[in-house]
Amino acid sequence: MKLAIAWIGSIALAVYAGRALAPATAPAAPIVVSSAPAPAPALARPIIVASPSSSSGLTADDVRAAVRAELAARGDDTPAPAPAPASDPSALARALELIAAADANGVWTDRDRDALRAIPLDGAQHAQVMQTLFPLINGDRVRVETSGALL
Amino acid sequence: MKKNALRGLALSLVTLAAIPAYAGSKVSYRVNVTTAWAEGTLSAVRAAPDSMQQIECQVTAFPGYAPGGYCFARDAAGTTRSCWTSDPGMIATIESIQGDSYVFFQFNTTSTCTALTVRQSSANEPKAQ
Repeated sequence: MKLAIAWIGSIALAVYAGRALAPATAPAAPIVVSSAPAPAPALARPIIVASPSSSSGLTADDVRAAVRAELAARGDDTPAPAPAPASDPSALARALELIAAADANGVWTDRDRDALRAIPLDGAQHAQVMQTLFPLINGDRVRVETSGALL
Repeated sequence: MKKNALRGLALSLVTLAAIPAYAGSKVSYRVNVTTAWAEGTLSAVRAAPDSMQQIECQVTAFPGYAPGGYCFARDAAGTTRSCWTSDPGMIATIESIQGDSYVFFQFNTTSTCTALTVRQSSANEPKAQ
C-alpha cells in the first residue's frame, strides 16, 4: 500500500515537473500587411481655447457684443455727407464767359468779382473757375485790380 | 553848486547813451512775388505805404463738396500771383492764418498750390489799425 502511494506521488510529481519545464506556446500573432491608422482616442472633454475671465465674469460672447455695440455707436456718430444740391450747368458757362472777357480785357476788377459772386456755382464749378482764372493771373495775362478780395 | 549839477547831468547823459538798446528781432515782409511763389506778412503788408500791396487767403465751403481755397498776393508794382487748393491739409493751414501771420505759397503751372507756409513769429509786427 505504501509502495502504491509513493508510486502515484512520483507520477504526479513527474507530470507537474514536466509541465513546468515545457516551453511556453504563445498563440501565433496574425501577420498584418496594411492597416488603417489607429483611431484617435476619444477626448474626454473639449479643448477650451478661450475661457471667460474668472475675475470679471465676462464671457467671450459678452466681449463680442460690447465690441459690436461700440462699433455701431461710432458709426452712428459719423455724420452722413450732405448731398450736393443740383447744379446749374449754365452757371459754369456764365462764369467762364466772365473769365474769357477778363482775359480779353487783360484785367480783373471789382465788377468782375461781384458778377462772379452773383452766379450760383457749386463746389466743382467754383474749383473750375479758379483753375481757369488763376493761370491767367500767374501768366500776367490778367491784371488784378480788385480793391478787396480777389473772388 | 551849479557847476557840479551840470557835470552830473552831463555824466548821466553819457552813461545813458552808452547803454545799448536791446530789442527783439523785427522782420517786415512786404509782398514779394516770383513766377513760382509769393510771400508777405499780413500786418506788414497792411502797413505798407502804398495802396497796391495785398496778400490774402480764402476758404469757401459748398454743401456736398470739399472746401476750396486760394491765396492771392499783389506786390507794390501790381504784379499778382495766386494759387488754389482743395487739399484738406492746405485748407486747414489757410484756416490757421491770423492777423499778423506770415504767408508763403508756391504754385505749379496749373496754379495749384504746391506748398503753403503760415508762420507766427515774435518778429512779425502787430497789425496797426
